[in-house]
Amino acid sequence: MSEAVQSPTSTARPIVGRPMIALEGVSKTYPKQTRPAVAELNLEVPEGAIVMLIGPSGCGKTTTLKMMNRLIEPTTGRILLDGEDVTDVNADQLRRRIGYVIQQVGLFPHLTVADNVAVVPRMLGWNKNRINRRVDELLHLVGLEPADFRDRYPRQLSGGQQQRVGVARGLAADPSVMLMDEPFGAIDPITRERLQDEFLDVQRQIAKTICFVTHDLSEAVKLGDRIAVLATGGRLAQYDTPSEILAHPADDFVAEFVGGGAAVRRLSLLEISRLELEEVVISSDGTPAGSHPVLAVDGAGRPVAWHHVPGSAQPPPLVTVPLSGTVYDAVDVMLDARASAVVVVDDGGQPRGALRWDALVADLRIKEPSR
Amino acid sequence: MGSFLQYLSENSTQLIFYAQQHFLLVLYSVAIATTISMTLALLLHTNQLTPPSWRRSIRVGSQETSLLLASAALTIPSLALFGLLQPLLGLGVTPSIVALTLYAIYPVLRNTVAGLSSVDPAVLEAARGVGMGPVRRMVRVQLPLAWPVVLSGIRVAVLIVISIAVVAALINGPGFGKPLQDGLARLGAVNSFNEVIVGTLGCLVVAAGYEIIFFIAQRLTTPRGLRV
Amino acid sequence: MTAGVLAPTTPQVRSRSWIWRNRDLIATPVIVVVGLCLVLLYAATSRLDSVEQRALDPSYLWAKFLQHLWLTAASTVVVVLIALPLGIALSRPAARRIRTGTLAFGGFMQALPPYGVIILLAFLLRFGTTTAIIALVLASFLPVLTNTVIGLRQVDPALIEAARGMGMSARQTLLRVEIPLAVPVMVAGIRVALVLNVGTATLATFIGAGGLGEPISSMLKLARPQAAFVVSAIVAAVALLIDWLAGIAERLVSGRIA
Repeated sequence: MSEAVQSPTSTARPIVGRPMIALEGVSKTYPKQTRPAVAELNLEVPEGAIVMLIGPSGCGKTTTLKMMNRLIEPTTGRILLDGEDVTDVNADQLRRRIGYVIQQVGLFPHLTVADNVAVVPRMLGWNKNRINRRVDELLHLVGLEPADFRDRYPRQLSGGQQQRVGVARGLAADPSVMLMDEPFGAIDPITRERLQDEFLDVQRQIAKTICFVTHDLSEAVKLGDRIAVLATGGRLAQYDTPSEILAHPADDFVAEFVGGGAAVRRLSLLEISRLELEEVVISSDGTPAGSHPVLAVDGAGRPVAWHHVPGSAQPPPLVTVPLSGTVYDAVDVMLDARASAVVVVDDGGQPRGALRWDALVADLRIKEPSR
Repeated sequence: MGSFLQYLSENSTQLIFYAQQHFLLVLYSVAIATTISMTLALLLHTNQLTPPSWRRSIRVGSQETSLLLASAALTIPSLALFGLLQPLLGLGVTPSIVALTLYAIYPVLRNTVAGLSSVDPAVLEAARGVGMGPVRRMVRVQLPLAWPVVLSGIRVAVLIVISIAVVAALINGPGFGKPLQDGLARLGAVNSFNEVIVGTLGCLVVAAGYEIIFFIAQRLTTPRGLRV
Repeated sequence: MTAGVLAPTTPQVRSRSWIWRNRDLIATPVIVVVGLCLVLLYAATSRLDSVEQRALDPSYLWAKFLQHLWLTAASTVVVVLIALPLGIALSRPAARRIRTGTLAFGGFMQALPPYGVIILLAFLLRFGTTTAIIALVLASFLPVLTNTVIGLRQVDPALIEAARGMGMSARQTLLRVEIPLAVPVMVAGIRVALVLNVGTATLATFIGAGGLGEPISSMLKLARPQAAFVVSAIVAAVALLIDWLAGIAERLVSGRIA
């Protein structure tokens, strides 16, 4: 399962790395229970990938995550970290090689932000200068100005700020693997979305192998390179890219879990930059030119209004969507303005093409992947 | 051991008398203290009415002051407190009860205040919204919800007072302090050690009695919804 | 990253002087000193016979005070040395089965009279200062034990999970996370024990260990109520001031955490 499955609508980065974390036949049965919490799980997390663990309550996703750093010891099976069998090594030392971020953050209230972030490096015996540099580097990475935040105490921070520190703390010793247990779960939706965007940003820069537990399907689709859908008892129902899971659920359970609206969700996975856009003709006097939409622009080349859009008697209101956006954004914008077409603009505001509403349901064409 | 049991059977009436005295001494002191503390706490509690802010700060301030004074009473060594009361109240039962009452105020007051404060403001808001007046809110909603904490405060007060009450013997007070005192005074005499043991363990017997009472009281008075 | 601009800035905590923030602490010593002055004034203006004068003699009282201090300090230190480690051990998950029983037993034992324990021990061992200290230790042991256990148990489990998850060993978690956070509650327990010891030490005079209880008990026995009153006021003042000092220590310790 380490090879990437590239479907036309897939936006996953091609993952060809070796598995960074591997669970082989791992199961967990609690002493007084008859049924296992997690049964015979085989899972491989490729290097540099974000794998989301998702499933209904009690499916064992948190248990699975905690078995990766052995906060919960597996009853059977092996855990391999970068090829090394870590099932029986010293657990404390193992965890210092793995970043761990939890929902309640768990920042130590009696330590400053800097001291909190420095916990693992100190345990590993780094020298003071190296620690200080690393703390500043990480605070900057998560968007907290070091000079401002180093000496603050957790109680002086907002929820979002605390979670940023939590992430910085997890990254402190530069672990190859990060385990995150619903880290954004307790944050308000607006801050959560911002944190998610920044998270993706950071991951683009540092490319960690991340295993992320969530109960929010939108979050899983947005952040994950792969999603592992777990059913009760830790059964792996499907393990694939987000678009595959949305498009082709493996069984009834996954289909029901994913629920309605999968087609709409898939739109958010489709980047406009990967589409073949309809050509627009720029004209100052509005003469129709064949079957192409005609656009009026201002002195700087930026679109101001439609002259003509084939298929509509009256030109629709002009709306634009950036090239870096997704089809979901385009649909949103068109619906909002009740426009049957949208102009795709680049960073400079220059028109690059158009998307028409009819094309969305009929004729969307994907450019050949040019990696 | 044998001589101890013999001592017990020979002096059983006397010992039961001491137990009764001790029991009642504690009862009176804690009952008075509870009345004082709860009245004080209710008067001072900020949730009772919706006061304008200046009155609120006076309430909070006086709450803190009362607690401070009450804890000061508990800090003063028992012997010293008896000594302070002596010119006014002399010796015997009265100063004993007064001193023990002063001691008992702090645990009950602290727990009553804490209990009343711990009631979820949302619940009180709901009660207000339904049209309950301040008195009814207190009686029907706040007190019942705070009651478990208050009861545990009364229990602590009882236990503390039981243990301090023996010192009352030094000012001719009643209770198990007497055999303790006698045993000490008659050091070396035949039953002196037994008297000392009786004085000490008698307190535990009284405490056991009260624990039973509290157990029953808790069952009877805790509203069903709160019973764990 | 543009997030730095978007992250909401929290206003800096106003760094007022610690003394100003804890100015309510001045109340107790002021009241105590004022009260004491009034009492001493009363003592100075009333006619005292030779017996009373001896009891109120400053050097005598000072000697008693030092004895009292020794009894209190020694017993409190011993209690902390014994009850603190025991409390830590009792708070560990492994001790779960005996913990509830021990705490319930401790609650009930509040009824055990320190006065009785002192005399009992004097009978069993011998009269004197050492026995008094042992009795004081027994009498004030439980508050420290109970508070240590409770203080450790109430540490947020999420913090312990975060610590273990980062690779802290159980011992490191205890030393670096749990104990520092439990300290305010532990110190509160030590304060209770200290006050209890000050009080019980007044009774140590009855087994020949001296202390400030001596002048009080002798004045009571000799039926000198006014002198008893004055000496009692002095002893009460001492107790309140010692408690006040402990309260300052408690504030200092808790302030760094909460």
